[in-house]
Amino acid sequence: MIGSNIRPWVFFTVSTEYQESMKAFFDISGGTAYPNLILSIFGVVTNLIHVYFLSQTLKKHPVFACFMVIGIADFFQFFSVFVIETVVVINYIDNRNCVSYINMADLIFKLTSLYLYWCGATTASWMIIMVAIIQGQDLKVQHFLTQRHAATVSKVTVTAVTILKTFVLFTLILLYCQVEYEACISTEYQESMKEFFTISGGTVAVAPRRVNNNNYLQMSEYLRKNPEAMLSLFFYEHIQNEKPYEALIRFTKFLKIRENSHEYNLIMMKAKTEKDKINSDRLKMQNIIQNDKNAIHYCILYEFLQKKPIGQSYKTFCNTVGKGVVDYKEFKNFFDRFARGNAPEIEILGSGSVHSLPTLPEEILVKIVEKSGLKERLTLRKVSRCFRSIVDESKLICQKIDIRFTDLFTEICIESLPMINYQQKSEQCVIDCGGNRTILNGERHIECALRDLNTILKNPKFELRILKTTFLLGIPFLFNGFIPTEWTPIHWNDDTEPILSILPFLKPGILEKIRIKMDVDFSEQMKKVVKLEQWKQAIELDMRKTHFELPLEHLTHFKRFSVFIPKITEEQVVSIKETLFKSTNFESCSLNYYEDELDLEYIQSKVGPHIQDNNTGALLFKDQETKTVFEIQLGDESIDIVRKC
Amino acid sequence: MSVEPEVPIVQVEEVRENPVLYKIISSDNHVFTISEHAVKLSKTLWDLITNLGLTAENALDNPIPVENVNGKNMETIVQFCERHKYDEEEPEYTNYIREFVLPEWDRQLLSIDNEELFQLILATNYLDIQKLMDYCCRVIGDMAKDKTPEELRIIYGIPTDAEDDALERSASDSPGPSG
Repeated sequence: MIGSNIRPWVFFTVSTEYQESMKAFFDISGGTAYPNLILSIFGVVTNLIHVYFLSQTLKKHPVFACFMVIGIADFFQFFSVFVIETVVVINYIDNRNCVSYINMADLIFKLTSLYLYWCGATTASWMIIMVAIIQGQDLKVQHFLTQRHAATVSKVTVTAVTILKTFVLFTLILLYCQVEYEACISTEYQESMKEFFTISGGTVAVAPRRVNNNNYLQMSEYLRKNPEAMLSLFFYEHIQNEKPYEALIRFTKFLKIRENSHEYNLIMMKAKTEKDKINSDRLKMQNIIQNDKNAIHYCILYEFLQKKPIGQSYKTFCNTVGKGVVDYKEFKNFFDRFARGNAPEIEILGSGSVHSLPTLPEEILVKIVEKSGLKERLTLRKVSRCFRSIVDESKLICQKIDIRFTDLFTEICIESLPMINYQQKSEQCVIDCGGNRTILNGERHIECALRDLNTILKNPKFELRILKTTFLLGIPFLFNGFIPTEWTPIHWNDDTEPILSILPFLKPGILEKIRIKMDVDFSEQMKKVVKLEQWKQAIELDMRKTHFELPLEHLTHFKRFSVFIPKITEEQVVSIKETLFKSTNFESCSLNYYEDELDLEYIQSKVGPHIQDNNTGALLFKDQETKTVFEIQLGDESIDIVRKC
Repeated sequence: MSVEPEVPIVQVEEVRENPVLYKIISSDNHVFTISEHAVKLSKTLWDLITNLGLTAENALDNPIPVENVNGKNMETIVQFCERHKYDEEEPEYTNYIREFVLPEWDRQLLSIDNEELFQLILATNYLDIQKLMDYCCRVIGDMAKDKTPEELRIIYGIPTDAEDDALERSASDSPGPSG
């Protein structure tokens, strides 16, 4: 037959192990694509002519019917070779013949062309055998071959071959279905596929990765000389291998670093310190690699150097570093670049492009969030879940939060943000924030307000300078809980004590100044308040307009205080003066009282030796032991005591 | 035969009179010259210089390779450092509400597209330049002013939760067998 000397190379671009010994073979097979293509074109054309002449002479002798079938089968065979070789040549030109990636379209094309080739080649061969047998019989028995015979033989052969090859095709398809779907298929499967194709008559040729050994050496050298790379590779191996020693051995052996050499010891030490830093947490190692572009590149290069098929390398990489860190296309690009011998110059930052904020390392994102205003943060929170967690956990310092509770509405003022008003309208809560109105059905205004406030308060790094809460009596709800972790509304009743619903939840020691302004009698509540650590550890108290009816000992620990004492006595003044003069941290105080309640001259006579300032009328006291000077100003409505120096 | 020092004495004196200069080579082999005061702003570079033991005499003969930063970013960084080399050290501010206006010159310098800005941030982070980091973060933070979450998502290129989920899913499960 014409063109039967064409070697039916079927290029299945499934890469297998790169094998040195097969290099020459691959080179030849790559080169034969062109002659194959030319011969197949020739074959197709001559076959068409052949078929045309056969159709003209079909009636003359029954054997021509058989020849006709052979001609058509040959046509299919050459045509499929033509198509396959064209694709191979195009791939070859595009320098993409080392792709192991198979997508659905590829697969269908390959299976169809292969099927066509098989059918053509096998039908032609069997038909030739049949014709030979029949012709042999024809020589013995005259007119053995009739048109009917020829037609039957042709039909049977074609049908049998088609059925047989369809079975083979289905076996192949079944094989594919059995394999777990991966962007790339694994070696074992490729190996079996290769064997399969070889047995079925076709030959699988694999395009070589054209990298010379010299480049490999240079690249290994590049990794060896880079301590950062060595650490990344250690992590990379350690994630795959539980035992750190084995991980170390694996990659050092691979890079031909001798055990116990100086180089080896350096790597071992560094690996150990870094490993201890993160408590050998392999998840953290994964994170470290994920967040470091360089480390990712080193690992890809390492995979490349192992000369595994790209599909398997990608699988290992994904399983180790995490899926989705580098997509297949990018991974392949790296392989291609390395294959071109570009490795030692990988420039790192410029190569990966950063299009979006989330690709930046988290530490930078935190910095950005910390530099943003509160309003921007609250907007950023709504952008995505990942940002919500960053916003909620980055440091937030707030100057002032002002909350006003009434029975009909709650107002929250945070920093310089527009005031948020939560208004109760029967069963609805109308939220008004700078003109934007939202309506929530079946919600109470205080609950809504506190829930919103909690988004800020629950931040563990939240710092607040001033918390101002105002209560108007008669409010149906009040809150209770923890600041800054949690505030939950509780039901209001007559016993609810506003100060006790807040103060105990502030951190003692951190809370410096307490300012209370009350218009009603709350001395019962104050008895509990003065026992609180928050009260005892505070530095400053401001109650200048609010009645303080408890013993004055509860005040002497403050550095600065200012109170209104409705039932003040001269003895109280003298006694507190004595205590304060002895106190080491006292700075100033102001005792306010109703006008003319005190006999000031009596007090002056009782306070001990002093000098009176002629201009201001203030009394000056000098402590002989500590050399400190105190000043007392006796006024008609207040007595002020100040430590001068 | 006399053993003459390779560097003539005159040249050494010249270097001493002038401010000390260092040479930096970016990843794409661009060479930058930077003064001592300016280079001190980068903690990474300054540590490197001290560790390498570079002095006024040998600084220019020993360029410092910075493999992680490309020429474009390095140029911006060098400009910034030269501009701010005599700035007083700012106290680390604790209150974000403090009205902070980015100086006009710096705003001009940092008016680049997002991708470049993000790259610059990575470079700045690597070189550890506190002030430039603050400024860059501020520029990015300012982009968010008066924007809705949807707008921010576009500006910053942030995937939605749904996209995130899809990504995570595709990363964590392997899809079933193909037809």
